[in-house]
Amino acid sequence: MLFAQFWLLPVVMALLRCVAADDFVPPNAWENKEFKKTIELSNSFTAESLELTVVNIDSEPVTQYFLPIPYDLISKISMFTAAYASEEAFIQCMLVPGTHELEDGTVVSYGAIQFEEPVAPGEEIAMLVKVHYAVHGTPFPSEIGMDDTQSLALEVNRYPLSPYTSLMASVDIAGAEDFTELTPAEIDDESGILLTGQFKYGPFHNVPPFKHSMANVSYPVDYPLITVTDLKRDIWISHWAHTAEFQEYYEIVNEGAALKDGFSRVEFMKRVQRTEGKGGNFIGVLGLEMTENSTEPYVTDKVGKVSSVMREESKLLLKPRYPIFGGWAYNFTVGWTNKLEDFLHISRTEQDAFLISVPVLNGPPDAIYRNAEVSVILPEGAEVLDVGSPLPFSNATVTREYSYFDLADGHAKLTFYYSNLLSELGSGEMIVKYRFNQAALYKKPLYIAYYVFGALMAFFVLVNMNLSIK
Amino acid sequence: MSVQEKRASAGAAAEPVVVTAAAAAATGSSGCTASSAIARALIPCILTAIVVAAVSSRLFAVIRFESIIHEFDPWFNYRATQYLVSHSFRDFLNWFDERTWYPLGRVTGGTLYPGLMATSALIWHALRKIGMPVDIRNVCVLFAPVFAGFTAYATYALTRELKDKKAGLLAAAFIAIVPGYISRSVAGSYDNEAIAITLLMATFMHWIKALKQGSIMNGAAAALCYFYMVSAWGGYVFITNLIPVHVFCLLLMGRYSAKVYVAYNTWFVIGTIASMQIPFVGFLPIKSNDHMAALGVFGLLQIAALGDFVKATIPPRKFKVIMLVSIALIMALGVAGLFALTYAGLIAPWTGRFYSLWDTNYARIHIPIIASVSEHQPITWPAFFLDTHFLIWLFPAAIFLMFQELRNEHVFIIVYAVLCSYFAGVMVRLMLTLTPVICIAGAVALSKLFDTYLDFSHTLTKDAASGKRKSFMQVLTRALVSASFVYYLYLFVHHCTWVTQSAYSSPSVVLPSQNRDGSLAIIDDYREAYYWLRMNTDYDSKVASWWDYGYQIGGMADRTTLVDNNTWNNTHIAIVGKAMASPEDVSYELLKQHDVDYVLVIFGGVLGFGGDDINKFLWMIRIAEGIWPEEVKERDFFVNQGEFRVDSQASQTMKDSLMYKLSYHGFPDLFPNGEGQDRVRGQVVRSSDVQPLDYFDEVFSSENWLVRIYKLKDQDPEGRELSDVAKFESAKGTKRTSHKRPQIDLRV
Repeated sequence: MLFAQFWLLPVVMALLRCVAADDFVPPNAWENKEFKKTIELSNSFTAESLELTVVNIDSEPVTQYFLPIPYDLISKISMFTAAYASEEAFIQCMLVPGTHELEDGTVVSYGAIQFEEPVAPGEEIAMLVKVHYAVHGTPFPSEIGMDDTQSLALEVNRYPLSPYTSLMASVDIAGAEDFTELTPAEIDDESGILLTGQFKYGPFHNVPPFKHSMANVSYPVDYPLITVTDLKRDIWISHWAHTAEFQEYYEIVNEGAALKDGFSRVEFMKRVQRTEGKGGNFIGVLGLEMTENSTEPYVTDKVGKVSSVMREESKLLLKPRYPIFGGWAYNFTVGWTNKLEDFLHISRTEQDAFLISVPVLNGPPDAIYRNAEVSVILPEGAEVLDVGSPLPFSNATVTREYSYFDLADGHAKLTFYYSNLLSELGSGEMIVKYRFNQAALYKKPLYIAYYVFGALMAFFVLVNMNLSIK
Repeated sequence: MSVQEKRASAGAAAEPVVVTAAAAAATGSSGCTASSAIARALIPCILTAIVVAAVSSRLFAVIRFESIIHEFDPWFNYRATQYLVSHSFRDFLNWFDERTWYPLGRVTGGTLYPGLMATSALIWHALRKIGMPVDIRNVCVLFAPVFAGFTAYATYALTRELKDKKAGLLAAAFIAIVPGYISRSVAGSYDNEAIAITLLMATFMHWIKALKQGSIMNGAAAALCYFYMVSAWGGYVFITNLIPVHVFCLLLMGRYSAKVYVAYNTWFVIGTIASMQIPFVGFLPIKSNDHMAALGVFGLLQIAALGDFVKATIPPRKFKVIMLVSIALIMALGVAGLFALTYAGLIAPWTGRFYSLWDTNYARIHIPIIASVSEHQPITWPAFFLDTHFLIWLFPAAIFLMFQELRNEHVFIIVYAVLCSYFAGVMVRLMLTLTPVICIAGAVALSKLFDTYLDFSHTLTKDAASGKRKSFMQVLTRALVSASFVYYLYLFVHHCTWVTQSAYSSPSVVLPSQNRDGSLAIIDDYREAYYWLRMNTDYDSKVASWWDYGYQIGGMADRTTLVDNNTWNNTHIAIVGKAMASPEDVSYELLKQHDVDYVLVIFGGVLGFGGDDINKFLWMIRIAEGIWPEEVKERDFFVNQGEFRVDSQASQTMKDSLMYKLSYHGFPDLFPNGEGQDRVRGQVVRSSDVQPLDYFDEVFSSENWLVRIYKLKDQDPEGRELSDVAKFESAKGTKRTSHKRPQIDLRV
């Protein structure tokens, strides 16, 4: 099977597996004229955007610019992109093997930005780098009462980390109403400044390479931290019914602060009444985004139907069996049906070739997906020709799936395995190209008819058998 | 009352169309003359229609609610089936379940009747083989309706032997929709009875055929059905006793024949040896008194055969003497032997359940655990009518008609009817075994009636000699009688449909209720709480609750329980009873000794749900008192007038009991001025009545407060009593209760 992978944002996750043990410090070829890092915390994930103006100070042209990333965060990266500030063009990014241990013991690895053409000495480049991590702060305090406000604490470096000297550097934290520094800085200069809706470190001048000073910043978060620990998403394609059926199994957990004194129903009812049902740090209602024009939605879990479900256009408002407070988990299966035309394209060039393009994810907004398996199950007799995913995946397989009346070879089931996905990235469409001809289409009912006929014949013979010994 | 009341609700009215059509077809056919070609084509059609009616009327539960396992015992059967399909059959028979009856565990494989699970596992595997990978839950849910279809056919075949095909069709139609049977076989009611009634009918059908023809094949078929029945339901003892009693009656009536000899011996020998292969039954057939009748009749038949032989060879006068002497001798020997064996402990003593069959008050006095089960209560008169409608008054008439004919098979039905009528009066659950015979008898009577009154042929054709007037009156009488009975049939169908959909189709796991606009709302508190347990507690957590919820916790919450609905260990149940009835510190100690992490109680005070734990509390107290009469006294829970109160007048023991505290914890705060209105008991519970909990933490309560889960606090690291810790904490100034609370609307 040939996998042509046309990635928009290529990150080679496989490379992460083989981390070189040796110490790697990039050649000092660059100087950061300006390095402005903004950490956006308004979502349940952490988004870093780096505004960089860099100059080649080497004597030769250089093609790679390195960006240190703390080693423990490498496996949590969901997106890593870079673009020129002046024009709308992406620059190729990758994660490279090689680690370096800083003075305080922190180990960093590197992301590399690979320019298409070598940058001449003295040339200046302005670019915008975005790194999304599937992490959020840890609850601080880790246990709260029913009525308390939830706060998270995040470890941040007061300086933007770089292997090069920065002439001008600053770190902004945004996305919450209030910020508190839990570990005050040793030097006055390093303590953060609280602005409206923002917390700022710097600007610092002439920051040496790998300058490093950790701060613990806490900020209030009055929403649940929805983490999907496992998602199994199956999309069943049927040419006979002209449908694409979606079935998703979610295992979710609220990673917010746990309840200190357990759950009190009285307190909860009072809280809901006081806040007029606005919600808070618990999952009272999950708004599941379905595909458009979908029909027949349903929600079940392992003990049966979940009846507290309401539909609002393409959104399914699911009230879980119980409000999901910090540390609590829930799982459920949601499904719906779409017309096949919504996703199917018929190839004009090739005969009997079809193209299915479906979004990688639906489901709740602002969620982190630790592991996701997205499968497309083709009609029986179809053959996978080509596939593509808009997001980096760790593995992809084609297996056989046997379902109702699959008396021949079963369905081809194509599965992509993802990790660290974010709901924001899920709208990208994965594409499956497959061959399915008329013969295969009619083979199935013929097979069923053949078996029914066999059974009836057997019955007829058995009924007419005479075993009498008289 | 330990099993929850069935909550009738006036929700969506379902159409009785299918049922009516099928039953009408059946009644119509009984009038048709045996024009053989038409009949041959019509009978399969009618039977098919009846089967469709039987299956579809049982699907109300799925249509109104969902495809879900009902009530209590089915959850265990479902769990066992899941175990069977994921393990081998050998593993299943050797299954030791350490997740129930903690810390004892249960030798589940050896203490269950595997027939039900084995059948559904077989169906599941067979369906997979033919390309239908159906979920095992759906197999279990739809099991009972499908087997009700088979029952209808078996009943047809049985009644056909009694009278004719017409009566058979009527009987099949009756059994298909009669509420007395539907109550135990709606979709989701995945219990042993679901398959047992089918097998009961099949066994009897083969038995009667064997008896009629003296056929070894039918006798063997009866034995195989009997074996299947033994593997599926403890009620097989009914067959074990009914067939011998039948044969015994035949002997007394002087109807001994070679046919009886062949049929009984084939059935007994094969059936008994086969039944001993079931691990749970083992050597019971030769040890237990329940089986002695069968063994005795087996011996008696041999003697009768010998006597028959002797009678044929010697003169009658001598034979009389020999017979009298030998009968006296045998009786004396038999009784003495029985006593000796029982005394020596070689055969099992009479069980308590057996005593309560004879004396309804026996259980109430001696074994509260048996009396506390609602299906062991004596039946009420209206229940007979509710479960069988007009058949209940047709039934005695039919027995009278049987006496007139009194062939061997009629004796069988009479014996069956007499025994079962008595037992159904003693124990409400035995209504289930009575229902088939009521249907059969009713069908025979009605069919006899229709044979005469629905026959208009000669009044229409021969119209000359005796004059017009008489013939007109004759037609009128016939029309009147027929019309009234057809009307009764219509009423019957109507009644059955109504009872099925309103009384017997509620899963009792979810409770139907109404929204303000009258539409069906579902109260799903059980699953809410059980699922919370399943998702948010440690897999090895032990949950203490009253035994009623043991199977549900095992099935839905998948957590270890202390006691469950398999009430085999009275002492263990009494431990939970004592924990619930004792003050907090004693309960805490007791529960800690049993490694309990969570305590679950059902509280209906907010919702107005009568089957809650406070209402069952007296049973817990009584069972505990049976083991610890010094520590738990029923008397202390009543106030002076002998009343069972929960408000400010409640006795101090009541207020101190764990059950009271767990049920009412935080409840008064829900209401203005801290005056909690208990909607079940109609009493006012004030904040001052409910003492704070020192040893337990509320960890979850469901939306309507129906299920409340508490966690046992960890022991104090400084080694203090937890009550002292609580006193110390409250002395520090943290107010535990305040009386000014905002009123909260309850959406129920």
